[in-house]
Amino acid sequence: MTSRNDRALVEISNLTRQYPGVIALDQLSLEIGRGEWVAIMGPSGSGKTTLLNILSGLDRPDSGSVIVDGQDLNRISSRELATYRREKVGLVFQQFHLMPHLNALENVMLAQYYHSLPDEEGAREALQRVGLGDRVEHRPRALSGGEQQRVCIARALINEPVLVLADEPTGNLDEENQSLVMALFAEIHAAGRTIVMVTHSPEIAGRADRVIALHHGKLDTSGGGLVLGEDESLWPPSFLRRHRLAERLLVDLMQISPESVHDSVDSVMPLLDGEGETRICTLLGHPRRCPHGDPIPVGACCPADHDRS
Amino acid sequence: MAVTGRSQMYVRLVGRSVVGRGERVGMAIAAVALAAAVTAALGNLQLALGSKLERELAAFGPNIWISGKSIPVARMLSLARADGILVAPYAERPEQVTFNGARFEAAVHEIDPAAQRQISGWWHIQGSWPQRPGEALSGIDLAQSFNLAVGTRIRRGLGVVTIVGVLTTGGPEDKEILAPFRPGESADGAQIRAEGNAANVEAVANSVREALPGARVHVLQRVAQADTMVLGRLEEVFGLLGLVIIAAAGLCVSTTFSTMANERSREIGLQKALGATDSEVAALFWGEALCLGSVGALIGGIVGLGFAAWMGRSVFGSAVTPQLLALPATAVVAIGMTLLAAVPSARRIARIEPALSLKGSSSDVSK
Repeated sequence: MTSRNDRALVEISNLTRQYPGVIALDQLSLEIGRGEWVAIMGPSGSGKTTLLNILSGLDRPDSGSVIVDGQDLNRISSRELATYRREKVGLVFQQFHLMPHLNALENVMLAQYYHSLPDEEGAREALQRVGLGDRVEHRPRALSGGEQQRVCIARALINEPVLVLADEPTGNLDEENQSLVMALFAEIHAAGRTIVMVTHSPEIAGRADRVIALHHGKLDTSGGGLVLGEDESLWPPSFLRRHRLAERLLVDLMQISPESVHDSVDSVMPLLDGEGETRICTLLGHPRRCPHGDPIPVGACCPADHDRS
Repeated sequence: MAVTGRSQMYVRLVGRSVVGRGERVGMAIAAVALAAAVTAALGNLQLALGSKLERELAAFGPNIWISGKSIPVARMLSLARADGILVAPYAERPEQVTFNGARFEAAVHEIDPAAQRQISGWWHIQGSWPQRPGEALSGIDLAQSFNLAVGTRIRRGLGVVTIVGVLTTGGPEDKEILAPFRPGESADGAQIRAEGNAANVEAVANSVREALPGARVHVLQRVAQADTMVLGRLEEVFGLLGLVIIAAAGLCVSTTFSTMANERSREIGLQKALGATDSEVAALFWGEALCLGSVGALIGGIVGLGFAAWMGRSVFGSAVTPQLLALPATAVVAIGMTLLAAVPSARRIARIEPALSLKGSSSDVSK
């Protein structure tokens, strides 16, 4: 685990972002150190993507300050924000977002083009580093999901950004490709790059130095800490409850064995966001334990005399 | 380090974008080509067929009439030296004609057959035009009265003349004999057909007055004005038709651009997310529009010239020489129309919010 440097790369203070009828981020404050790998978790609508959009300079806060590498993103012009995006940030998307009519090499060169000068040799090397040296001439539709994501990572890194932002980078990948992509992120991290990654998967989040849980636009500190790893006892109860309810849902209703439920739990986690949690808890009869026998934290919907033993 | 120039990469991106969107780009190019073809065809016809139309109109009769006494025919014909002026001298005299022993007085109308043929295109001749002094035309009424037919030989004055054609005009010529001038004869007048509008015709009339001080020169105002009106109306019709087709093609191009802008909203969002400024994104878009406009103008220009040539042959019976002046005008109109049609889409592209478009939101532009 990499410790945070003395001077934070990202300093967020009282950040608020509202949309009509919704407070996406509510007085959020946090710091991210240089070289740190931070995972952001939380249910849908908790503000994860909004936070990532603001950090990437694609959106602006309504109030508060977001200082990245000494630059206050709320106080710079649109043109400076574009310069910030091209020089400081590397973006990795769940949907990959490659230009369909450009081949892998040109997709990487596109980032160079907007940054400074296209360097075909440099782009070729970047693709080689992600294991796609023999696929440079292929267009996205001729590449698998995992390969497209690796092109996306090569493009994100080509300009040597100080901050790599990834939104569910493994969300559309099978297990094998998830491992490949996460290995790449581990390499990026080992090289000292700062990574902020949004994920629904505790397993993926467990690879990060630190996990930040968001709930209704605020830090979810219900677990008494913000670090999620393999040790579930350290997870926030609200997240732990949804995770274990999801496991029960898979075993009770979808006939998946308790041994293999671990692989599928991420796919149903979004069903437990918001009111989904209450509906599924009620549907399952307010279960007390997960399929592995561990207790499920009590929810607001559970009967008052619910036996917690 | 194999650095690729920015302009080289720009061309590569524009090219890939144009080639990579086959069907849509094809539709846009087809619409631009249609506008270019119409512009090229109408422009070419207008430039090349002005004189052809005037020649067609010339067949409907003279617009200047000269009358005088004993004007040498050669002097009359010399008036036609300038382009666009037809001069048909004539002389009328009663003469004794003998046929099958019958002797009668006929009005003999002496003409220059080559000039008369051009200026009196509506005359109907059964047989052929006289070529030499020993040949003549007989008006239909005269022919019927005296049983004259093609091949009939009549005595005119001291010589013998062969009727080579029977003429129907619906005018006084139906009662006359028309024969070529004999060498050394002089004319009593001439019909002149001057091309151009009424002002041009008046200018020609003035030059005739100067050349033939003793002659009376009349401008047939109604003919001259009718010609001017017909040519003017034709130009208006050409212009309006062209405008309507260009506007329709422009709408088609605009709709295609709009569809393309919607379909590529995520790509544009991605470019902005990668750090492209609005002007850099716009530069790529305008590059594509310029490329489509140029290809469409080239294709349409060639098709339009071909169409004009076909029109020339099928309508006017002669080829239309390609008018080089029509080509730059076609390029300006086609490319200008394409760029104008691209403006709404360019404005939409500038307003695309990358965060919304990458998310796939249906409303991805800033208010």
